[in-house]
Amino acid sequence: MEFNVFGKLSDEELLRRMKAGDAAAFEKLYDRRQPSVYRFALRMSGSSAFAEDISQDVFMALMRDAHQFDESRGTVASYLFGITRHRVLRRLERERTFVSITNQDEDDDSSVDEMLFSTEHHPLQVLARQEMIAAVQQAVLSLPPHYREVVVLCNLEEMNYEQAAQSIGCPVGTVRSRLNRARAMLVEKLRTTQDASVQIKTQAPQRSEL
Amino acid sequence: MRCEEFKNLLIQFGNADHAAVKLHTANCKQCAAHLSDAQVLNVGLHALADSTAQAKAASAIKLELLTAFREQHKTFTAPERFPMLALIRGWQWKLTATTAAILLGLAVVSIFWFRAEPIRVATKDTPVFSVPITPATNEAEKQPDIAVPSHQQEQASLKKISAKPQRALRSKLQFEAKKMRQETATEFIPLTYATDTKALQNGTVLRIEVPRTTLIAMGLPLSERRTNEIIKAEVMMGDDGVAYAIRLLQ
Repeated sequence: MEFNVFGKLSDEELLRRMKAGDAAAFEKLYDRRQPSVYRFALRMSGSSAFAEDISQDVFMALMRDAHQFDESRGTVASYLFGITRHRVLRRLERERTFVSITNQDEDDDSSVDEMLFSTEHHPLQVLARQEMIAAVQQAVLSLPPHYREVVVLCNLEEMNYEQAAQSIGCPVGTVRSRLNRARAMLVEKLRTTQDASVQIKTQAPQRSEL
Repeated sequence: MRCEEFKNLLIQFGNADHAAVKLHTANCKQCAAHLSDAQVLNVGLHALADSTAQAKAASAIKLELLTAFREQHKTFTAPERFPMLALIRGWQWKLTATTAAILLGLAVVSIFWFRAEPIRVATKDTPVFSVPITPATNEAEKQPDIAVPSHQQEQASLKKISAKPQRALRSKLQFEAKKMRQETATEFIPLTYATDTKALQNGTVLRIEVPRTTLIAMGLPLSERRTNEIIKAEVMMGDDGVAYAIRLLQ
């Protein structure tokens, strides 16, 4: 019953209660805001382990520094996004070589299996879709972080340019130009991947013929 | 429409729904290929977005965070016995904790300083109590011990006066020393930030009394029962003022 009451409260009110030591308010705020924090980290890194670490880190920081939140400067959601973005970029910078989609692949396998054995989807379609998702994900992950984040915000989180600019803290024109450049890079990478896979497919029968 | 305008429209709308875009791509092969690439990318990005749309962190993280939250508020919220502590929040708490730590440190240092100080015997320089000195009379011949010089008389009376506190202090120190001999101590446990205690050349061992909760918070393997209990410990302090290791006393 108490939890239902929290559902109607704003993030700011929940944070206020959280600062007073209310664990239920913290739980509600976590349930409400954790998915977006986790998703952003996951889409930026391609690793669920990375995303979980970041989620934990962000909410620990919220617990510790909740008093630093200033309502006049923005919403709790944007405050949390700011912390998340800062931590994700810092960690990506620290782990430049870190490109792992293993956990995500593991997660996806179950959904792929479900789709393969369901009657609604044709198995080949499912596999082709998975292949495409993997290729796009690889291409997104290979972008430099500042280009990657505009793709994640505008194309995956479906924010408009103004919202993305506000989140990143840069002019709308910068978001537009970065997105344009990022999309051009993605097209180029996907084309390269496509060419490589076509080449492999055409070479395979030739080898078998030999 | 020019190719440049087409590209701007494509960026603006992101797909080929716009009528002008359709018209242009019908006549321009290069832009048609560009549009096709953009559409493939959009489909891929949508599929990727869909595949991660329901993603969320494992429930174990939520449990860990809730435990940490409750733990934090157990530490920071004031018990009902101390309602004034409820006013201490955030940075005020840190400030208060720092001040308390400094005061505790000063108290510990002063205790050890006083213990290390030798027992002082009254000398010429020490303040002299006013003892009435009677002038020498005829009776002085009968009682020659009274006829000591006035300074010696003062010294004697001073020794008599200061003997009691000295005896009390000495017995207290003896009692403390006896207690210390009866104590058993654990090995020195390195603190987390000091990995190599052997590297410590010079240092001081300070005896402290700390609440059990503080030691648990420092990561020492203590039982969580009787959290209010005060535990005696010795801290190995380096010359740099950093605590390198701790050992518990019983």
